[in-house]
Amino acid sequence: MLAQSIFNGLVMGGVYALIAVGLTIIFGVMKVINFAQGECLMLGMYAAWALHRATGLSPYILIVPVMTVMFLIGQFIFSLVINPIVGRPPTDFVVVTMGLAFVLVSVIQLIFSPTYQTVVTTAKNITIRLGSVSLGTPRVIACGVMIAAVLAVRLFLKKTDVGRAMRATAENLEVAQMLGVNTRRNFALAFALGVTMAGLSGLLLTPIYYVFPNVGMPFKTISMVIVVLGGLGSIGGAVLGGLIAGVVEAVLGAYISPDLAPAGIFLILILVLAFRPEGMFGKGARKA
Amino acid sequence: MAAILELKDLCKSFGGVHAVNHVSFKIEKGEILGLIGPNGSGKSTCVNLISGVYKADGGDVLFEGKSVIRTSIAGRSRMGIGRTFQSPKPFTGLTVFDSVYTIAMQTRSYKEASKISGEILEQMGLSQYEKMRCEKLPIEKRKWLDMARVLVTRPRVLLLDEVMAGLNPNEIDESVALVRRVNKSGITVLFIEHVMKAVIKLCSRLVVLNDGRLLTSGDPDTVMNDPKVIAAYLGRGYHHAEND
Ligand SMILES: Nc1ncnc2c1ncn2[C@@H]1O[C@H](COP(=O)(O)OP(=O)(O)OP(=O)(O)O)[C@@H](O)[C@H]1O
Ligand SMILES: [Mg+2]
Repeated sequence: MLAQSIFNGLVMGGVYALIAVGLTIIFGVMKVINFAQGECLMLGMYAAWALHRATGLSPYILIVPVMTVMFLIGQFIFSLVINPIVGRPPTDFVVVTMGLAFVLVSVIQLIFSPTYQTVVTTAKNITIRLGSVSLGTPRVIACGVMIAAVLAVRLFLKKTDVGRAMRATAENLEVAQMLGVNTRRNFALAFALGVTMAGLSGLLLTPIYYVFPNVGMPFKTISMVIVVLGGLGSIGGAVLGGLIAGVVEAVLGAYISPDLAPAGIFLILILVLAFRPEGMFGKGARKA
Repeated sequence: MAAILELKDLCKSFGGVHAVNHVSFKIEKGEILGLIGPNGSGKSTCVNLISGVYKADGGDVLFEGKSVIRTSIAGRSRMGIGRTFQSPKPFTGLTVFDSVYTIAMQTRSYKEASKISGEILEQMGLSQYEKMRCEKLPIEKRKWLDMARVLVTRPRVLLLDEVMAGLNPNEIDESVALVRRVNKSGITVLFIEHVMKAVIKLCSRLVVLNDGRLLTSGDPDTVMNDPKVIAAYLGRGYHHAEND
């Protein structure tokens, strides 16, 4: 029973991790929090659902098209509402992205109505057994895709020219600007990449969750907690934080009450911050 | 000769401190102009105002006759204003080679960028450190990494903020030769330095700041023997400060 809960938690944690990785990439480069990250996940769910409805294909086959759509949406949102406020105080960013979240929910509600939608996959009916533990295939796939996506992002940041320029921008914006790095482009890329990660998490959730306009809400809160827990801007921290959050939620849910799960995650956050105010993998506040 | 850079009545205060107080001077195209003065006299603040890190409270900065006071940091860099930092600011997560290459890459093809990065690192004596992560690079080498990074941006004017602090006499001689080589390649230099030996060897003209004000300017001999300058240095002394 405990093993089963831990596995369930790790798998769900994988999805949390992916949303949080998206959030932490945006924060790492731009030093701002995207308060519409949960709604980007929702957009990913709708993109997967709509394409699935139109083509009849399994959402897993639609990963590349949905990621492409989400990347383009991310670029579009950036140039429309984010680019104009680059360099303004972080509070502007909070207000704008919160507003964006409302707009996205309303637009989706107008187009698709608030009805709950479902995506049916054959994978849903298959369970994978590991000794006494049984796991739903969609969850295992979600976890696998998360690992692949995170590794791909890391590889991109470490090994490509654009990735290195993004890291330079993330580390010291002023110096990067002084040396002629195209920091706007790197901001746009980081934002779109973060949105894409949220969208991919959304797609991975479609076989497990109902698709509806407000589905992103709980994910938004939990992914912010995870990012702070892991250390702002740290990808490894976001992954570990996501897995911890998933396990805590599953174990508390199974043994005590699902209602206590969020409280448990916040308790861990408080404990971690008490000992490491910069989060598990945080580098700490930069000296002025 | 025409001025490539001109400071006009430039002002900047921090709280009650007038770090730069109505300062005006010109940098002529092709020269090495020395900017000296005791600790806290406003030299680094001038560099920060010219490169756009600080917003001036008043006055103007002209680059090739055009005001750049409203131009962004990035814009000034694109125009050809390059600088190093008194306390170096490496990209700690990247390797020495990658941090130069990433900058070179912004305006060049992959091939050209690799080539020029290798060459410049060699000139700076950093070839053996190419694969090292910048955070491990010895402190005294970091200024040269700053220099390598800014040189690949092809600056027209280079603001060097105390690149020789902490070097031994041999290294100072090498550095003097290097700065001269950079200048000969067509880059105008604003040279801030407490190492007077280097200043006298390199600079055709000096500008002296004291307490944020322009004290005097002129050829090195006259300036160094000026009683006002001697008094300013005796009054305040100088040491190699490693802060901004
Ligand atoms: N960011 C800042 N905030 C507050 N005060 C500052 C700041 N930058 C500079 N100052 C103050 O402005 C004055 C001029 O400093 P600046 O760094 O320009 O001097 P400097 O001539 O470069 O000195 P040093 O030779 O020690 O490098 C000093 O009194 C300094 O304390
Ligand atoms: Mg200084």
